[in-house]
Amino acid sequence: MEWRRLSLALPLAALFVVFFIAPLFVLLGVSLSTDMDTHTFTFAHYVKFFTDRFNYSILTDTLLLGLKATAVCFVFGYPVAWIAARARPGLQSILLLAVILPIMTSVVVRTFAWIVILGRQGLLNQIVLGLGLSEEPLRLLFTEWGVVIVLAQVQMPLMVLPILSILAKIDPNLADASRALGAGEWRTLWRVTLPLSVPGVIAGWILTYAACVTAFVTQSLIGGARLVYMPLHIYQQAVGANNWPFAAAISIIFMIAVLCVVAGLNLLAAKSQRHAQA
Amino acid sequence: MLTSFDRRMFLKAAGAFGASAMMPGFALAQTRTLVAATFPGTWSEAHREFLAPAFTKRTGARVTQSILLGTDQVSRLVAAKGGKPPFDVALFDAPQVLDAAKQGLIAEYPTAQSPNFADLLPGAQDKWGPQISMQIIGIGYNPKKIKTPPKSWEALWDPQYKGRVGLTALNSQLGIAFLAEINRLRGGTEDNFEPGFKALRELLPNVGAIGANLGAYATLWQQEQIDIAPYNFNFVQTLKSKDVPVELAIPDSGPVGWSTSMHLVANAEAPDLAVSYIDAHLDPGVQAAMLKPPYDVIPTNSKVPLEGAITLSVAKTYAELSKVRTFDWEKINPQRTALIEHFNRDVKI
Amino acid sequence: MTSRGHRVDIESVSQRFADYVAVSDVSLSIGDGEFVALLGPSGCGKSTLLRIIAGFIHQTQGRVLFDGEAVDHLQASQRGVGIVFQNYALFPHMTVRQNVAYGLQARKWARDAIAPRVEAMLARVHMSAFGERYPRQLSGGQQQRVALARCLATEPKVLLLDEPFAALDKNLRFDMQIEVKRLQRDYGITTVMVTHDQEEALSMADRVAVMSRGRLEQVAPPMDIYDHPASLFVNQFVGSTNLIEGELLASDSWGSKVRLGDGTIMSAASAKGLANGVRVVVVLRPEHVALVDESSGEARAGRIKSVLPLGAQVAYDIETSDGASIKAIAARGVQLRRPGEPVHLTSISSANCHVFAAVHSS
Repeated sequence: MEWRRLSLALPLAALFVVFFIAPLFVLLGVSLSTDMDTHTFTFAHYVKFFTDRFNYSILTDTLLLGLKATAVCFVFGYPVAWIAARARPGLQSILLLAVILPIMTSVVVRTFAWIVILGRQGLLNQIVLGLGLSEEPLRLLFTEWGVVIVLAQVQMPLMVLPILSILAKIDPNLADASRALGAGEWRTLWRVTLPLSVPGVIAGWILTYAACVTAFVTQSLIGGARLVYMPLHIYQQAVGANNWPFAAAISIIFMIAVLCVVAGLNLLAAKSQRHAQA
Repeated sequence: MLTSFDRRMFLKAAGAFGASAMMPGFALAQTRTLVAATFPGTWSEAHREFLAPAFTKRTGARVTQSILLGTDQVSRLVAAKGGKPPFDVALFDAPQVLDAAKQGLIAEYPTAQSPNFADLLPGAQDKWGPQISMQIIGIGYNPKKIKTPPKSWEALWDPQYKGRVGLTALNSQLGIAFLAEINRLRGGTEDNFEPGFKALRELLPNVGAIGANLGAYATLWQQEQIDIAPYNFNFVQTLKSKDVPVELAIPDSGPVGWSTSMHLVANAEAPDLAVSYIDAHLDPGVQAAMLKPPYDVIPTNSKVPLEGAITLSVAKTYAELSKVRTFDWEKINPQRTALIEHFNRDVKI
Repeated sequence: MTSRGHRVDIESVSQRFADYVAVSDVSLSIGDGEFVALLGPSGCGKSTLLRIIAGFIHQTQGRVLFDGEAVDHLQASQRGVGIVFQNYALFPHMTVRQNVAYGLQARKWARDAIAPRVEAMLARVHMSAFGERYPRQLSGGQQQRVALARCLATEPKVLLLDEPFAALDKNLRFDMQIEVKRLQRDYGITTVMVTHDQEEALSMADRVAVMSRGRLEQVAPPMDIYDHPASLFVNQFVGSTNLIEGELLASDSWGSKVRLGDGTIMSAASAKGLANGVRVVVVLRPEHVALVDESSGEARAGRIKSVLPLGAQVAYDIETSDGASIKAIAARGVQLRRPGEPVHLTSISSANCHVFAAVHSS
């Protein structure tokens, strides 16, 4: 019985093996070869990565970028989800559409739109200069905060949707009970709504984080060539420098690092959900 | 009546489509298809507009574009080595030709099957494939912001342009050519790039943005994020045609550039079509059409009269064009990885 | 224990949602320490009215007063109401203790006063042993005790119960009803309970307010509601009834005469405000139907269709000669009748036969 049920998942499992596990092993194999033609076993690429400050500063920059962008995304995304969850059905679908709409345009288009907004002659600077808030145009493009802001916007749906789906499932009586017990809106949000939405928040963080650290297009278009993050580094090593084994090695290192962060977040989620494991 | 007729037509068409899908061999016999690589942006547009129709007229075959940068084309061909190549015609900038030839990725060009080959300028008649054009670099500037055209590369270091100078990463041909030229002017050689890198480090305070790729670089101009930067003759023409305020100044040290060439890929599936396609690009009619704005593709067929924007700023005659300084890719290529690495480390914030 | 009751006055309250009127011009005064049940079918507006008292909804018209002072400008958090929901609404991520302490913290009780208060409240509802459990680990009845403790800990002015027993099974429900009633008496707290269960309303409340379609149909002590329903709706909704159609022949302040479909004349209670000759329904509760063997002037002939022993009583389903169906309940000690047996029907007392105009809603 159990086997028969599991067998339904076989096509997916096969797909997974062929298109994910197998390439992963190829990647691992390449990363342990001296070069593409002579497949001599070596750890040299991994050693090279960790003995060179330049390389692991890129790794830490990337992991930190992900945290910053995820934090900004959360600060703006949670209220949106909260408002949408409480809105009347009509307004809710409008808000939901506004949240989802960006997914329907390509990341490239959205990122270029941000260049128009953040540029030296961009919308934001025209406002700042027009209002006389600054003499010089602000430098927003090609700064890390520029990348953080754009990533936060571009990946917003990944944060909002899981939180929204959890918030919509929370019994509205709980908030009413909290209010009747004398708690104001903030205490209700902080003590009841937020703790109960933790599973959605963690899901949102994981999705947003994974998307932000790997967002090659946004990172390179907004960050330019001076802000080097792992995806661009991997691309440069593979295509620019034709150093496929090293590119494979840093891909594996990057993947493991991101998995560690995700696993940490998952652990946090499990810890916060102890009350549900009766 | 009309609607039922339309429906019958539609069913017939759908049936034919289904049949061709089920019998690919049969369909191929009807119209053959060539897969040819081209660069992203205006190159692919120009090829679609002029080259593809000329080729189809000659052969009755169709062409599918594989849009890739030269370096990406090399990567694909390396990856497919020993098997079926992903495309039969490669489009390379000068440095990739050496790499590709050395690795056996391209075949020697069968000049006998290419009637237009003999009409090319002598320098364009390369045995690994004809040069189809020339890329020239100079100083791009925004005429709205900079009233007097810059005269020398040294203008980039002028403190008045603080934060307004642009660069592109070294994985682009433009970036590496710029470095090589600066290096030469600062006393370096192709064996010693240290003077060039020193100059770049001195330039960094002026640099407002470094485009990660040429697409992003074009956007920098469009958004007027940068006012002065090394740029490429053809890209400037394209941007100008879109009303972007940009002009190209040729520095007093003279124009520098490299050739762009087309190649028959080794073990091509349809070598006859590939050669015919390349030959079509050498056709004086095609080259003359592509010389017109907005493409301004510099011709290599001596039968095509040189005219337009190129004669205003770069060279009036083929004789002058042949004097454009080029680079010793034989020496630069092996260092490319190290140069990119060096550059990335120097510019990383 | 001194009475902690507070008066609650509802003055001409109406609530509209878009074009739908949920509560229509309801006025109700609830004395201090009084237990009032809002009884009605689902959608009658009773829950909306409860949420208006709680402050979750701000009514479109009318006023709500606690001890004579309007509370309409106060948020739910400032009104000092305690509410127990049908699903208890315990905070699932907090232990029992944390749940009970929540309201005290929200009301800024001193830190060292909270713990003893929590323990006292848990002791009161016999839940001291479960302080560190999470709500998921409790049974329905236990959850309800915690919900009551949490709500009463903050000493609310008014206790609001929203279908509090609907999720409990029958035996537990009875126990909890007794328990809640005991707590309510002990505290002397003014209580409003919403329910659709008439037995629950009748057994627990001091007064029952029957609602239908957003309006108050009748507000009266349970026995009055049962014995003297003010409308056909109340009569039908509260307790089981037989509806007998007929024509009003005569009526005065002592009683009335109604001619039924088969020609029998039936004596009934006074039909106030109805003109002679109109179509009426006579409403007769099953326990007020008397089964006799011989025909007399007012008895109708019928035949037992089915017999349902209910323990202490027996229910009969009787078909009359003109095809109508009448339910009757008799004590078991009286002669037990069998299906198919012919009987004659009459009412125990004409005062129990209520007459209403025959334009009934259902």
